[in-house]
Amino acid sequence: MVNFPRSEATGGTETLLLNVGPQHPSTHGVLHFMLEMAGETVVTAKPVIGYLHRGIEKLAENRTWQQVIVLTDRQDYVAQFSNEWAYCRAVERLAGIELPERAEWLRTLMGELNRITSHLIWYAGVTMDIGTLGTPFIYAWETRERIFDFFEAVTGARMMPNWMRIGGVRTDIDPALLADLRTFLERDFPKECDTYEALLTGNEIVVSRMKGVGVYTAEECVHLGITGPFLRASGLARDLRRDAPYGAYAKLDFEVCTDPVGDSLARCRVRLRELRESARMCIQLIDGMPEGDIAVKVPKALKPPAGDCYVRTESPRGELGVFVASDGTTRPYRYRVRSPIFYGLSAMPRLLPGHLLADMLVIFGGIDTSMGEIDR
Amino acid sequence: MFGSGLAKGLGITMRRLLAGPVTELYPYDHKVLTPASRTFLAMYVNEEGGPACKACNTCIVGCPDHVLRLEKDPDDNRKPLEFVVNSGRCTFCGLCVENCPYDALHFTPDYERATYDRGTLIYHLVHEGAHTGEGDEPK
Amino acid sequence: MSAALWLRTIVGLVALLALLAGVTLFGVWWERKFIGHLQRRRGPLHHGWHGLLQLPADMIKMIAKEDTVPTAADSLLFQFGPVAAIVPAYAALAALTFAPGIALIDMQHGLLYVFAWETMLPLAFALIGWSCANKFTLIGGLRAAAQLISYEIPMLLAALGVVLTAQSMNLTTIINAQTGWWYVFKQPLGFVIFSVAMLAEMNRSPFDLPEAESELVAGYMTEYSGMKFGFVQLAEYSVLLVGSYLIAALFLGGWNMPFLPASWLWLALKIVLLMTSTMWFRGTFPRLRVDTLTQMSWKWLLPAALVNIMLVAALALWLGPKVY
Ligand code: SF4
Ligand code: SF4
Repeated sequence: MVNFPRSEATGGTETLLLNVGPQHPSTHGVLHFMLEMAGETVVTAKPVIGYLHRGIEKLAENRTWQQVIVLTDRQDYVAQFSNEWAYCRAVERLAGIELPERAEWLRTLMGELNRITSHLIWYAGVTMDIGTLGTPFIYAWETRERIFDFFEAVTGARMMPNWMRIGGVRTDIDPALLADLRTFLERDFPKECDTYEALLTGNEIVVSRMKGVGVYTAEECVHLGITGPFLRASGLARDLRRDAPYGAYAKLDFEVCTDPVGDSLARCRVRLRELRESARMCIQLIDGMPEGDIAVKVPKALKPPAGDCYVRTESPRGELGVFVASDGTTRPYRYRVRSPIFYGLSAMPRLLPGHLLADMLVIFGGIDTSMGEIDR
Repeated sequence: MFGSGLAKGLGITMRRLLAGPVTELYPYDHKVLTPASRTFLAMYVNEEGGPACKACNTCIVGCPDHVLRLEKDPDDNRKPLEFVVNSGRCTFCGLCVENCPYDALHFTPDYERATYDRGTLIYHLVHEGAHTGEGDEPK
Repeated sequence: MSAALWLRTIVGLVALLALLAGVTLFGVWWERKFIGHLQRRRGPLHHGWHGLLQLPADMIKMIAKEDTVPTAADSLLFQFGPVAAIVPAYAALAALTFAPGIALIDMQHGLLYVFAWETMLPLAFALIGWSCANKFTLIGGLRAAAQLISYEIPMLLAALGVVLTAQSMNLTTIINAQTGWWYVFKQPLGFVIFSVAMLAEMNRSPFDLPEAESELVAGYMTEYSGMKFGFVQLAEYSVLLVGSYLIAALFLGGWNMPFLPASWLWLALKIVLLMTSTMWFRGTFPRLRVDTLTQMSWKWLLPAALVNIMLVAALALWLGPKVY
């Protein structure tokens, strides 16, 4: 047991070391927090990561360019399509492959649907952390199941689609499925969103717990390299989908959701609004889906020219960067991921001190961590 | 007013309660997977009733997890003697099915092969008593 | 004591124990079912009719489980903790009147007796939290003590309003005073304060801080396994029963029902409905934060309870005890 020195800051009493995790109900994967507590107040916080390290970056070096897509699914199991997409874009840029229009649109559709499922997982997690007995959790899961059924019908798997390919996508989407999805997104989904808002941001207890908790300014966010909804909730409208459009984003009409406040509640509001925005984008994508090929022919033994490239995408958690280096063989020389929420997690030692234990979980749950992505 | 959000929440949960459960009772209700779903591997048969595989090795090279093993017939280079799938290692990524130039492999719609013995997860696809699935017609 | 009294006492005690066990078993089953359906699941399903035998099976499992004691725990206190929790919970049941004349002892000051035993519980929870040598249980135990103590005061003050009007602390008298208007209509403010405070006393969501699952794993009972856990659970459900009973008896007319003959069935129905609503809250609401929780008690409920007493006293003086 570590005993901290008696400090004046805590009124001269001894502080307490509380290990939250790696086996704890609300650490979203396997994260370990070492908290120095004075009573119920956090004095210092130290996240310990690495419990979910699977060596994906190293594994990728022993696989062919196509086989790495299997790994990217597992890298962040909450935002599978975004990770596949980022990797495929990097390799395509390296090999100079141009995609057919339809492939781009299909990818964008799946990417946005994936944003919805990922935000739903965040919703489920944060409502659990704030102490509901899992009722909003299951309501979010219900919607997610609907979308996962669609994923399964298209890609053959619910969690691990392995659907995007270097040079396009693997399977086309049946128009009947698209029509079903469109009805769901247009008719049922907004109602579900109302429910989510009523149970989270509309609930006075939640507001009393989240308002003013964990305030982080845009300046501090930029300082740490925090992106995505975390940054947008601090008032800075930065979204790669708009600022550096890729896929079909340039042709879509959407709003970048921001909130000036920067506390936990603002982060909830931003994500809940993004749910609706994403659904709106999906409907536009389904309506405007162009005809054509879904992939270009790429040799099985793909050998991108020697060189490297870095590609940024907007994953549900923020700016997901992929760096690939090729030495002209069939295997990547180096594969490196810039995990967006790793930077969010690194804000924790600054954000948590001074807050209560209960606040800690709200703040931490509210930033939407995915340990799979951080540890890789 | 304070409390209206709470009351609304109570209303929502009660409405969902009255709407009835949505869960599937798994061992009683079997979910039918979509045709696209990736589960266990099976092999098509060709016109003569033999395996459709031409022993070209493409799937084996393409498999990221070293799941497949192929033994060629010493007399016929285009005929597999044995085609072994160690499903316990398989990640069901589908690359083998996608890569096969002769469309010899396919996935079965069967997903209930849980077992206590890892050995039973090793399937021989071209032997007698090989695991085939429904729809084993030549393509 | 005469033999008849002995017999009556023993039969009564056994009956109360059976009641407690029955309520716990039914309560856990009903809670799992009800919350399951709130979440659009089905809850237990396989043992018996709609999983009704699940809980007896769970109890057998609990009894058969290995009884672990953490090495660092204060083993004497650790063993004693569940006893300290179950004794007050069980003893408090003795004074409850379930129908006219049906009570183990129809005490002159029954209400005081029940509250006195309920007040012992925070001590037991703090004890349990301390003895386990686990930081999560420690925080849970201290939270329990802080919460229960701060909510006891508004609760007692709200109950005082009823005692003032009924001019008695005997539960039978209080219930019989409600043959006309129930006290919930006469003292709505008192009812709200009492219910909120009782919800906190019962450790029920949104006041389930002592066992806040997402924060403290399982709060003060984290380290308990087997039947010790069962005892703590039993104590929890006993508080739930007593709490629902008190709300029903003090404010909702007990066994009285307008236009219908008085019967213990009404009381049972009210208790079940009250228990169900606590489960409904539990399924819907998130948890309060520890500082908001205590602030709510001291800054809102306590002044409101004082206002309520003054109001009740003034009305009783003005309208006379017979009318009000
Ligand atoms: S599905 Fe993937 S892992 Fe399984 S055998 Fe085929 S290529 Fe190998
Ligand atoms: S790729 Fe097809 S034909 Fe070639 S070995 Fe595999 S199964 Fe046989």
